[in-house]
Amino acid sequence: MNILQVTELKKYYGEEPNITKALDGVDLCVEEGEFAAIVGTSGSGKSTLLNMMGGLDVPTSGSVTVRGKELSKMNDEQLTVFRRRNIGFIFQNYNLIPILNAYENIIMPVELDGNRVNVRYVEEVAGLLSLTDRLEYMPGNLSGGQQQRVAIARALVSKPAIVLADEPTGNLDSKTSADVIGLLKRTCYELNQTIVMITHNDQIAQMADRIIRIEDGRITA
Amino acid sequence: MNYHSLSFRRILRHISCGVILTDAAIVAAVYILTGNRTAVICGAVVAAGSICWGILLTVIFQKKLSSFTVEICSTLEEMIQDNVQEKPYMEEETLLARIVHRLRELYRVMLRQKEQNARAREELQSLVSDISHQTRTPVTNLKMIQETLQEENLTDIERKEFLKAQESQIDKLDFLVEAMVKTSRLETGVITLEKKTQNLYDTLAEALAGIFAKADQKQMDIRVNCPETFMIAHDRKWTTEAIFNILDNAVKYTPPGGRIGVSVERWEAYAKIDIADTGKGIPENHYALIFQRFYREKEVHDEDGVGIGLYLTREIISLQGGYIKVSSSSGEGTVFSIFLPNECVI
Amino acid sequence: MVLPFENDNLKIVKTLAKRSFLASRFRNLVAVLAIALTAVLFTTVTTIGMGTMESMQMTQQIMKMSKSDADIRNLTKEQYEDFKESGIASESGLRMPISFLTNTVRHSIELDLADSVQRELTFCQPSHGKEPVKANEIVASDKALEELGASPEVGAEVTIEFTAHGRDYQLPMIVSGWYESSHDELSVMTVSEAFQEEYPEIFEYTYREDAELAGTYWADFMMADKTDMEGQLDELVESLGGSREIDAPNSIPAIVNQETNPGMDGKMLAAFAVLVILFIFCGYLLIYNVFDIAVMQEVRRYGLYRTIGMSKKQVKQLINRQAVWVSCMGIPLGLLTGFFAGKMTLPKIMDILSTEYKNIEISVSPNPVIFIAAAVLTALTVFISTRKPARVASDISPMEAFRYVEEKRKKRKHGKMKRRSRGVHLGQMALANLGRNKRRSAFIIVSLMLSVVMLNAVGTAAGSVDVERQVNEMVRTDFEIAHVDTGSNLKGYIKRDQGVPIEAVEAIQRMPGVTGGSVVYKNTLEDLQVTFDYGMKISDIEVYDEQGIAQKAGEDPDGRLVSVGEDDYPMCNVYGMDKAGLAHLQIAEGEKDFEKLYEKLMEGSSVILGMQADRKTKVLDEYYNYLNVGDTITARVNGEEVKTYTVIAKAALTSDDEGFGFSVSSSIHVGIDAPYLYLPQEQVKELYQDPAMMKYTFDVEDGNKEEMREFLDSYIQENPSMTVLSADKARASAESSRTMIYVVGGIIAFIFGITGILNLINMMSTSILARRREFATMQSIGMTKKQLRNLLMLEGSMYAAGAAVFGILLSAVVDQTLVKSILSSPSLWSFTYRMTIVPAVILSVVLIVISVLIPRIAMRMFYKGSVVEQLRMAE
Repeated sequence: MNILQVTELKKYYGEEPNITKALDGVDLCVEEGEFAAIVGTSGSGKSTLLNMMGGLDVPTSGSVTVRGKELSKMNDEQLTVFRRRNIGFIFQNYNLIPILNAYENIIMPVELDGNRVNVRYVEEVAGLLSLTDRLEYMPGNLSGGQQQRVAIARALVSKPAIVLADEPTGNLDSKTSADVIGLLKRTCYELNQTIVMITHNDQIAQMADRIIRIEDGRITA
Repeated sequence: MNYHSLSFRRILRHISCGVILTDAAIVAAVYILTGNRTAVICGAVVAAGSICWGILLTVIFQKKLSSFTVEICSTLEEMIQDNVQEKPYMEEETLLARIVHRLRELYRVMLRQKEQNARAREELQSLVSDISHQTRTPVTNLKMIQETLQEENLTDIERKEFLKAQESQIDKLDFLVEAMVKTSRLETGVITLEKKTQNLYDTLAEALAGIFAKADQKQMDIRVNCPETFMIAHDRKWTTEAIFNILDNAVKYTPPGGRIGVSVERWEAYAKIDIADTGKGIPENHYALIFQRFYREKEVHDEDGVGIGLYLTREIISLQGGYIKVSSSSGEGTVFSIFLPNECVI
Repeated sequence: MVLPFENDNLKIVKTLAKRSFLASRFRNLVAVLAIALTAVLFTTVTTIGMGTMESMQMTQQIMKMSKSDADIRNLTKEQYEDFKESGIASESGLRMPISFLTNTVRHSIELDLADSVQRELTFCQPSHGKEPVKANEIVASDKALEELGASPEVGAEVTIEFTAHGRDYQLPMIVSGWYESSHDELSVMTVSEAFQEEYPEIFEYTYREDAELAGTYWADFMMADKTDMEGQLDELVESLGGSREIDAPNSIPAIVNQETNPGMDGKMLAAFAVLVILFIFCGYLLIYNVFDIAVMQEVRRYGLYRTIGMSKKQVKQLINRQAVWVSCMGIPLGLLTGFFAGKMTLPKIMDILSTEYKNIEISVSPNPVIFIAAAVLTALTVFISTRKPARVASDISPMEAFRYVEEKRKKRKHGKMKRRSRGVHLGQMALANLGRNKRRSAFIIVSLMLSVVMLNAVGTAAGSVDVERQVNEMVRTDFEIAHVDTGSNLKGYIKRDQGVPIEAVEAIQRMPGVTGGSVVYKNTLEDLQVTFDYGMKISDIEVYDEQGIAQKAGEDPDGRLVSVGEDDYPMCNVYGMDKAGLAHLQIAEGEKDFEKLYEKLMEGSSVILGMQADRKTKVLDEYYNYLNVGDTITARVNGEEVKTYTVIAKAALTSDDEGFGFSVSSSIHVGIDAPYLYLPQEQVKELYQDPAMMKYTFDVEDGNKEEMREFLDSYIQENPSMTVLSADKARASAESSRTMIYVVGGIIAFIFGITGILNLINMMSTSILARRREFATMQSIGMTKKQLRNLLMLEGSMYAAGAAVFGILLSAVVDQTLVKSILSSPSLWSFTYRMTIVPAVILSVVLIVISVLIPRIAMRMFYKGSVVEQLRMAE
C-alpha cells in the first residue's frame, strides 16, 4: 500500500532567466513499512523534496499525497494539524525543546493534540531506543547521540503515517551514526513504521531497504 | 470535579434556578431601591430574554452534539463495512477530528492484522511450494537411480557408483529437509531464542571450528580479532549457526589462498561483528537479493549448498534484535557486519 | 477559553508557557519594567486627575464655606419643622443668622446661631476646644479673634458688637472653641442654642416686614436622594408655602451647592483624555517592542513548534499567557509607584493651575477608582501591544526551524534583487543593518523622537512663562499702598474714609530711594456732585442700597447699568494720577507719544479713556468700547456744565489700573458700566476740590527695597487699616510657577525619555545577542573586535541621530503650531510664546551618547573568547 505518493513534483525559485530548479519533476512512491533513503549531494534537491513531503513547503506544481490526502489542497492551519497527527520529523540538529526534559519532548506531539499519553507505548519506544534511564534529563545534559534518539522517539510516539528524517546523523560521529540508524531501523521495523531519510552519506544510505538517488532535482536510476 | 457522573439534566436544573433566582433578586433590589416600576418591568424583560436565548443555545448545542455522535457512529459503521471514506474535516482543530483520526488508526491496525495473517498464510504456502520444488530434483534423481539399480545388467563398479550417487542425493535431501525444518520452526516461532549474557568469544570459536577444515584445505588465512572476554546477550546455538553460515559462504566464494578476517567491536548500542573475505565480491544490486531464501549466485551452482544460509542468518540476527549489513567490491572482497544489541531488550 | 467541540489541547501550552516564562529571567524583567512604566504613567495621570478634582472640590467648598448638597433660607419656625419632617434631608443643620459684627475693620465676622451639624457642614467646628453650650460661649476663627483683639485660645474673652432689629448689642463672650480660618476677609462666629433662650427678642421673625435676617431659620443639608435635586427643592419650597423666586413676597431661597455637586470640567476632561491617549501610544511602543523582540529571539523555536504541529491558536495562547503573567507582576508595581509619584507631584500641578487661588486643600485619597482605571488602561495597552507580536509568532513558517536567517515574511516581487556594489564601508553596513527590519527601526526612532518632542514642548512652555507680564497685570510699580477695603473683593473703595491718609504718603516719600511715586485720586459714592455727560441719557433710575450707602443707578440706551450722581448724569469712574502714574497706562488708540499726551492732558481739556481689554491680546472689549478718540465728554459740577474734555487716547486697562492688584470692586461699585476717565491729578483736584486718594504707587531703587519692605511691614502693623501690594511678591509667585512647569513637564518628558531609552537598550542588546553567530563569522573572516564595536556604535548612533534630526525638526514644527496655539488661549494670558529647541538638542545629545555607550558595554559583557567559543555559545 502506498503511503506516500509524489507526482510530477516541481519547485522553481525566481524567474527567468535566473530561475532555480530545485525539483524538476519528481515521481516517487513509498510503501508502508519501507525504509527508504534519498541520497544526493548538496544542492541536489533532497532537502526540498523532504520539505515538500512533510507539507512544510508548497510546490510550484505537482502533488504530494500522504495516506491518500493531497497536501497541496490544505491550508496552512490544516497542514499543521495534519503534520501533528501524521508526520514525524527528525532533524539534523535534533531540535529538541531545551525547556522540557526528554520525556516531555517525546510526548509533545501527543499533548499538542490534547490526548492523554499512552505511557506504556512511550516506555516501549524509549526502551527500543535505550533511553529508559535518560527520560528525566534535560536535553542540555544529553550527548548528541542521545539527543537524536530522543528526537527519534518524538517522531515515533504519535504513530505517524511517515517519519521524515533530514540528515539524522549529520551531527554525529560515524560510530554513533551507525548506532542511531540501526536503532531507527529496528524500531521502525518493530512498529511497522515508514521512514524516508535523506542523506549525502552512502554508508548510511546502505542501511536502508531502498536507495533513491537524486541529482539536479531529478531522480536518477 | 468529576464531570463524568454529573447528569446534564441536573446541571441544567441548577443553572436555571440560579439564573431565575439571581434575576429575581436583582429585580427586587431595584424595585426596593427606586420603587420604579419601569425598572422592574425592564429587569423582568431582560431576564426573560436571557432565558430564551439560553434555551436556544442549549437546543442548538444538543443538535450539534447529536450530529457529532452521528458522524462518529457512521465512521464506525464504515469501518465495520470496510468502506472507509474520506472526510473533509480531518485536519481541523476539533474534537471530532481527533476522535475520527484515532478511529482510523484502529481501522488500520485491524487491517494490518488481517494482512499479516494473509501474509503468514502466503508464506506458508510459498514455503510448501519451495519445499516441493526443491525436493523434486533429488527425488527425481533418486527415482532414476533406483530404476537404474533395479536393472540387472550393471557391473559392480557401475552399481557402486550409482549407490554413491544415491547417497549424495539422499544427503542432499536430508540437508534440505533439515534446513526446511529449521526455517519453518524459526518462522513460526516454535523455536524461541534463549538469550543469555555470555561470552561471544566462545560463540565465535564454535562457529570458526566448523570451517577450519575447509579453510585449511583451500590454504586460507583466518585472522580473528576479538577480546577474550566479550559479554553480550545472545543465543549461543543459533548465533553460532548464523555466524557459521557467513563463514561458510566466505570460504566457498573466496579463491584459494585468500584471507578471512573476523573482528568484534563494541559500539554504544550494538556490538559489531565483521566477517571480511577477499572473495569475488557481490554487486551492489544483489545486496538485497542474497538474503532471500534459496538464492544462489550463478557462479557457484556446483558447490554444495541450498541458498538458505544467509536467509537463516538474517532471521536469527533479527530475532535477537540486531541487523546485518553487507559491503562489497567486485573482485576484491566482501564484508558482512553483524550488529547485536548490547542491552537486553523485549 | 475552549468551547464545546473545539479541540481542548491547551494543557501543553500552559506547561510550555510556564517553562518558557521561568527560563527567561532577563526578558521577563524587561517586560515587567515596560508594563510597570506604562502603569506608572497611567496611575500618575489618574491620581493627579482624581486628586485635582477632589482638591478643587474641597477648596471650592471651603471657599463657599459649605459642603452641603443644598441650603434653604428665611424659614419660619413652623416651616423649619415642616422641612425637617419632610425627609428630604439625610442630615441637616440649623442656622439662625444674627448679624455681622460691627466692631471689625479688616476681617468681617458673621454671627450666627448654629447647631453641630451646621458647623460641620460649613467648616466651623472647633479644632481646639469645644462647641459652645452656655449663652455666653462662642466658637470663632483665629483671624476673627485676632481682629477682636484677642489671641486664639480657649477661654479668651472678647466683646462683640452688633445690631439686630434696630437695637445695638455689646456683649462679653468667652471662647469655648476656635478653628483655623480659611478666608482672610470673612469667617463665621457661632453661638449655642442657649443664646436664643437668653436673648429671645433677637430671634423674632420679622423678615417679611423689614427683611431683617435675625429670626429667620436657615439650614444647610445633605439630600437623602441625590437625583433631581432642583426638582426636589421646588417641591419642598412649594410644600412649605413659598416660592424660590427671589422677588416673590413669600420667597424661600433654596439653592443647590454647585461646589459639592459640580459638573465635569470639560477642559480638564479633554486634557486628561489627550494625556491618556498619548500614554497609551507611548506604552504601546514600549511594550510592543519588548514582545516583538522576544518573539524575534525565539523564531527558531516557534518554527519548531509549528513543524511538530502547534496550531496558531496554541502559539498565540503561549504568548498571551506569558503576557498575562508579566502583567500581573508589572501592573501592581507600576500602580504603587505611580500612586506615590502622583501624590508627590499633585501639589505642584495645583499650583500651576491656580495662580489666583490662595489656599488650596490638597487631598489625594487612595480611591479604588484610580487603581482600577490605571490597571484597566494598562491591561488594555498590553492587550493591544501583544496582538501583533502574537500573530507574527503564530504565522512563523515551520521552515524557520531549520534555517538560520530570518526569512522574509512576504515574497517581495519588486524587492531588491540586486544591489549596486558600494563597497564595505562600515557606515554603509550599519545603514544596511538598520534597513533589515524597517518597521522595528521606525518604531524605535519614533519613540525616541516622541520624547525629544515632548521635552522640547515642555521646555518651550516653561520658557514662555512671561513673569513680567504676570507681574505687570497685578501691579505696575514696585509697591502700592491702599486701604484694606480697597483690596477686598467684597468691599471695595467706595467711601471717602477709605482713602489713603496723606501722612502715609509723606512717610513713604521720606524713605530713601523712592522714585516715580504717584497719587491715585478716585471718586467715591459720596462724590455725587461731579458727573459727566458723554452723550448718553440714563433712564429708569432707581435707588439701590447694596453697600450700606444709597446709590442711584439706571440704564443707558444700550442697556448698560450706570450709576448717576445728584443730577442724574453718570458718575463714571474718575482717576487722577501724577505723571509717573499716567505713564504706566498702556495706550491702545490715539496719542501714543507720552510726552505729547501728558502735555495735552495738562492743558486741561483732554482726557484718556480707559477700556476693558482682553488680558492676552490687549484687544479692547467691544461691549464697553462705545466712545471714540475725538469724542467729547462734558464735566458737570453741581448740575452745571463746567468743562469739556476731548478723548485723545484710549488705554487698555489692567485690573490694577482700575483698582488694586486683581481687585476691581471699587470701580464695579462706583461707576458700574460707565466709562473710565483718566486725568492728571491736578484736574481731578480742580473738579472734586478735595478728592480722596484710592492708593499711592511708587518704585524703589534696588538697594533700598529691603528697607522699604521692613518699613511698610511695620507701618501696616501700626495701621492695620492699610495694606500694601508688592511687585516682588508677585514676581516670586510667577517664577515659582515657571519652576513648577519645568519640574512637572520634566518628569513627563523624563518618563517618555526613559521609554525611548529602554526601547533602545532593549533593541540593541537583543540584536547584539541575536547576531552573535553572524558576528563570529565576520570575525573569522578578519573583522577585528574593534571594527565590530565601531559598527555597532554606528548603528546605535544612527538610531539616535535619526531620532535627533526628526525630533528636532518635529519639535520646531510642533512648537510653532500646537504649542503656540495652546499658549495663545486667553486663559493662559501670562504666557508669551517663546520658542526654543535647546531641550531637544540636549536630549538628542544624551541619546546619542547612550547609543554609543551601549555597544561598548554589551560587547564587553557578551563577547568574550575566541570565535569558536562564541559560535558554540550562540547555539
